[in-house]
Amino acid sequence: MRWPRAALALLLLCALAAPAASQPLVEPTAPGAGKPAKPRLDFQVTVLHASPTPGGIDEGAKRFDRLLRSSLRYESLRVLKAKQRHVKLNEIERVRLPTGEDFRFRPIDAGDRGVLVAIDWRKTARGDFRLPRGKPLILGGQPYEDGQLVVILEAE
Amino acid sequence: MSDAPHRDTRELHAFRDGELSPWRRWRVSRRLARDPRARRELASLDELGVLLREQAESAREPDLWEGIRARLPYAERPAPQREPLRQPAARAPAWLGAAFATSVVALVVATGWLPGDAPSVASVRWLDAKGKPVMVLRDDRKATIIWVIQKPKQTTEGERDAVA
Repeated sequence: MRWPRAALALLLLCALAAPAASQPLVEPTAPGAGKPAKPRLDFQVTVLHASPTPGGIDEGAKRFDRLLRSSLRYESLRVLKAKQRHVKLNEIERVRLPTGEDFRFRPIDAGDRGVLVAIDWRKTARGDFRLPRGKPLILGGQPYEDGQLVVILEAE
Repeated sequence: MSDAPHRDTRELHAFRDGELSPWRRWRVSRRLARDPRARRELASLDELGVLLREQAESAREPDLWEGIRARLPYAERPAPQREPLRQPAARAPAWLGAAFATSVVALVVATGWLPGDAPSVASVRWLDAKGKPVMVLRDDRKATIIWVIQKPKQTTEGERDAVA
């Protein structure tokens, strides 16, 4: 038996529409409960200067020195800036870098596996990264003075 | 129609390329000694060869790798033995070649659930270095290290003061 095309199309339309109709477009909130508050997330932003000039490793940079030393060549590692930031989901936070440019980040999602963060380091790089607690995201390479800037973002 | 001029030209080509037997080479040498037109033809063949070599040289892709490697802030010391994971996989030349061959790198790393419910350790979902070469030096349980290769730029006093 051959089904008319119109009947097939109608059947397909119903099949697609049924799940959509059964789910509300907006998540129902409990009666009496107000608008769910966006969670605030804690971030630590550290800006380092990795330089080929001998000068030692700053106390606050020793933790990162252990991570960077095997991959990168430098003689000194100085902490230029260390900031705590409390950011809501989808809120854009920015940190001014010594180059005059902004390092911006926006937490997109938070879950068991960490915080998904969108990052925009002007003139250098941008991307999305998942940051589990205790795992720093280390971005570097922007020239600054005789060395390079390193920006470290950690979700706490 | 005689094929002699073509044969002569072919013979001159072979003479120039050193492909003739001693006997034929001697014959061509004699012809060159007494025939100015043959000498001119041989000279033009030489010029053509030089021109072709020059064109081949100019068409060759410049090898940028040495310049890029000089700017790469890699440590030249070996990685410590106790932590073999510190040696980043990105050091492999093929990886570097791929990284530099693309002006924009977009990395999509699977962050979904792995078989057996083991969570992925990779942090990079996507990355755009705005046309600059970029390397993911490390992306494991301990840290994610991303390095963008950029030309050094002079930082002005005004910029430094603005930040301070």
